[in-house]
Amino acid sequence: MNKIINKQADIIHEMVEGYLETCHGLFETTQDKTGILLHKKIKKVSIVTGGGAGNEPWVIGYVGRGLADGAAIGNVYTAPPPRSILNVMQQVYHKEGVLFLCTNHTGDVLTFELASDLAQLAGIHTKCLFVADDVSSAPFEKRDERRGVAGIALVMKIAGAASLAGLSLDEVYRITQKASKNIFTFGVTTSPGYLPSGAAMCTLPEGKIEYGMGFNGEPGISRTSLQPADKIADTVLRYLLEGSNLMAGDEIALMLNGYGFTSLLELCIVNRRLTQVLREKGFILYDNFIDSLFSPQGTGGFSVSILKLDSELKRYYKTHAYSPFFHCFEADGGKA
Amino acid sequence: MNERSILTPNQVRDMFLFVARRICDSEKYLTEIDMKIGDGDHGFGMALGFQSVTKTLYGKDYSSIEGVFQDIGVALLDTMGGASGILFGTMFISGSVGKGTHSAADLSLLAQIFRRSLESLKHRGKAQIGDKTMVDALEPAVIELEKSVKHALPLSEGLKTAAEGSKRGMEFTRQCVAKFGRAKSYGKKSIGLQDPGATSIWIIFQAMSDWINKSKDSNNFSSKD
Repeated sequence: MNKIINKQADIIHEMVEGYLETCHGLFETTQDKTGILLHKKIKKVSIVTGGGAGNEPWVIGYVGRGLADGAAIGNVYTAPPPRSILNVMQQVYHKEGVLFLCTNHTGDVLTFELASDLAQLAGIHTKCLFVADDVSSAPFEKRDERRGVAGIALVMKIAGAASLAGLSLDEVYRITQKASKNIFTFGVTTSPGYLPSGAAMCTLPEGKIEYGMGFNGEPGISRTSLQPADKIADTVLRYLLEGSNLMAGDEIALMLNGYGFTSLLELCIVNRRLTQVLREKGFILYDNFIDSLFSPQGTGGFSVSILKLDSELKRYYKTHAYSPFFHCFEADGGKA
Repeated sequence: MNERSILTPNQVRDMFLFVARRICDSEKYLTEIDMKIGDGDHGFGMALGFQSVTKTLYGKDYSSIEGVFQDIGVALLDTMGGASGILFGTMFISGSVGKGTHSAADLSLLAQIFRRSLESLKHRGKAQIGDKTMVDALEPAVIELEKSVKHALPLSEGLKTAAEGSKRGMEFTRQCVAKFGRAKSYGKKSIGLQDPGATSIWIIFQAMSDWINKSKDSNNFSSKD
């Protein structure tokens, strides 16, 4: 695959530099250019996130007004070193405490827990929360072991809004944790993505699709021949609902996340079926949008995330948020 | 033969400069192993970390063995990223803190340092023998070091058997089902594949052994001192 980079060793800071130019004045970076943070410091609990590059706009695009205050960006699919995280934390407003909000992967957990310990030693109050929403990676009973994927977009939205509301670290943590317990994601891969080196992340022959594949090409649940859009949508929803505690009557936000290669034309067709079936099953669609917020290197396919809402979560869900890469909440932050 | 049994801090520095070069030279080999079971970034991460180790150690004068280990650990922790960055950083830092400083290393001190490294790694990474991790290669190396101390073997012999132990451990990971990290997703499909972290541990111990045995043969132990 033809990839457009300069030198492999330069991709992270060159990405950060290019991004900063698009939104002059909104963001700043850290000295080593592996961090991105809001230029304007607000006296509140700060949300700091981070993770490996390669699924843009996750992580770089998750910093914004009403979202994360700062993020540390690691090399492709590699958690950032604790030093990068601490540099970001020192540069955001941290006197009211910091919530580290990340996806559940071994490297991220080890790194953020260590960074959190080091922050505590420096007298900064911190808490860590890891979103574990990938239904395909572990059964419901072991849901804490699930991988973290696209669902973090909606959880980040809630966390950002709760912190903007001026709540304490404990309260921001409680509300964010509630959102993270209420989020479920399932995906299907239709063609492989390609690392910056040009190497394919998995082998998937033409005409085959795989349900539940990890975003680095980790083996999924089942591989079938290519099926019509409605059939694929039905299968994804079936796996998703089976791996969750969602029930008829639940009020939900539905996010359809394209992996990068699959076109909006196709995604709209899938979304048509998803909403149809969910309504038939008795779910109340509080919000529904299509975006590409977690897209592994031009992979084909999509993931579906469902966030179950209650009145408290809805309050934060509909708060305005803005990041140049986070189109869905730009207008009015939830359409309801 | 003039067999040495004690290393000065600067000799330990030179030994790890040799180790660092070996790791950087092994980047492609590690990438190939990791492509099969992980995401192929282990070689790049290790090379990145050990390039930083080289920059840190090169030309620096050390007065304690622990100082060398801690500089290596911090260099890895600050540059590598990922689970590997934390775990390889831990291996060098945790093994060398809390027990004072020493101006010379014999086999017994190395055995004690790597024993504490192993216990910290098991604690932090929550891995046991058979989980297909770097612990599978480190534990046999530590056990061999301890056996050699008990039998009062020379340093060169002790590091040689430690390298052999870690190699057996690395080969043993092929039989194991992965319990951690991305490899976990492969479940039983991970049988037959070698753990990249265990491979790096073997490279480290093999390079330590090669350095000391090369030094012993050419009798130029302290040439860079």
